[in-house]
Amino acid sequence: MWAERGRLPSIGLRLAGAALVSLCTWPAAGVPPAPPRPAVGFQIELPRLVELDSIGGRDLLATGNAPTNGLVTGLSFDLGSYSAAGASRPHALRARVVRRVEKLWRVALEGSTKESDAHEVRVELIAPDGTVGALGVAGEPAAKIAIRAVPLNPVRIEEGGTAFLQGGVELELDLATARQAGRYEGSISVTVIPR
Amino acid sequence: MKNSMKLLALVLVAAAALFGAVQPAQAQAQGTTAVSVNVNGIVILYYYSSVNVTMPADLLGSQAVSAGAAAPTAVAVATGAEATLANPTSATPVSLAAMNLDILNAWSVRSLNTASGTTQVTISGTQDTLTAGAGNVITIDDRQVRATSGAFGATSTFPSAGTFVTPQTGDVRLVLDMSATTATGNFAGGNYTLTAVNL
Repeated sequence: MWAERGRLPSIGLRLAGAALVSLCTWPAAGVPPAPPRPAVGFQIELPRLVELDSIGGRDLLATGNAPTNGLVTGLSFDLGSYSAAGASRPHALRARVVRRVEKLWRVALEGSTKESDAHEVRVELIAPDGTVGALGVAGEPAAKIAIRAVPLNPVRIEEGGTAFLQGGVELELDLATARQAGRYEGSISVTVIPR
Repeated sequence: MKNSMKLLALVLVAAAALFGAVQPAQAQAQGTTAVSVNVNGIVILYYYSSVNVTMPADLLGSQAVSAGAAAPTAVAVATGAEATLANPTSATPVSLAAMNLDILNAWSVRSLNTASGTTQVTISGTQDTLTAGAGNVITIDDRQVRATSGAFGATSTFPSAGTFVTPQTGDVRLVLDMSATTATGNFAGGNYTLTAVNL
């Protein structure tokens, strides 16, 4: 047995040892772990920019408010008679404005996703300052609109002989949380997980 | 050779244990895209389409005092003491030609504007005469407006910021000329118009 001490380990032993070293050194200390790698052929496609229809006075009419006139640039609400007992005060504004993006993302149905009929979809809005569930005005940290994102049920479509799973989102913007007019920006993060 | 096999088995067991500790890559796809929306300026004006005030029967008797008398106090003329009627120059004799009718909390405004923008409320009118009968009238000589705790004037301007969530409330002042008022009655016919704009 001692005669074998000077021999190199067998090929199998050397490969196994190399594998063990690799496992022990990945990921390297201080380096954030890489995000989970999607399965082969499971890439999500999104547009570079989603520009929602602008929001104005007409949206407040669509949310159930009852103005005296319907001018887009100015809304008047009649509070009735001043002398009435308990004269009215400005009522709470119904300011939840909905925007739908029917075709927000799609994934090719191939590889590991081909046989999957059910998918979990997560959609998240992120303001420029990192606030989740909001859009914001760049350079104005206090200017935000709270947004609730509800994924629309994905549908299967065919394009160029390839099957895709396509989905959208319904965004509910709470305009009552806005402090100013302007251009609100942010990002939409979409995660699709086959079940 | 036997020891080598034991070492190999040990390494494989360790490797298998490590493999077992690593979560398999989850089959998911994730992507991010930019999104934006323009929120236009919005002004919402809350107002009363009719204002009905009742002047106490003894109002003029108590208010129409002679020179040098104590300053008259405001008199509530509407439910909840919202509106008051008072002499505009309290240190001097009451002038029936210039009685201030202050309609408190007569309007509110919500505004979405630029961060440093202001909103302006303006008052005007087209019908100055309130008539109860032939020759028995009240004339609106002037109309003024103010944001609550501000000063009365033809316009009232205030910062827009925050008013979309918490409306800015304000008052209306009608300067009444009652020198041609000859009898009690129901006086009707006057009006005022409020206009709110973002500047």
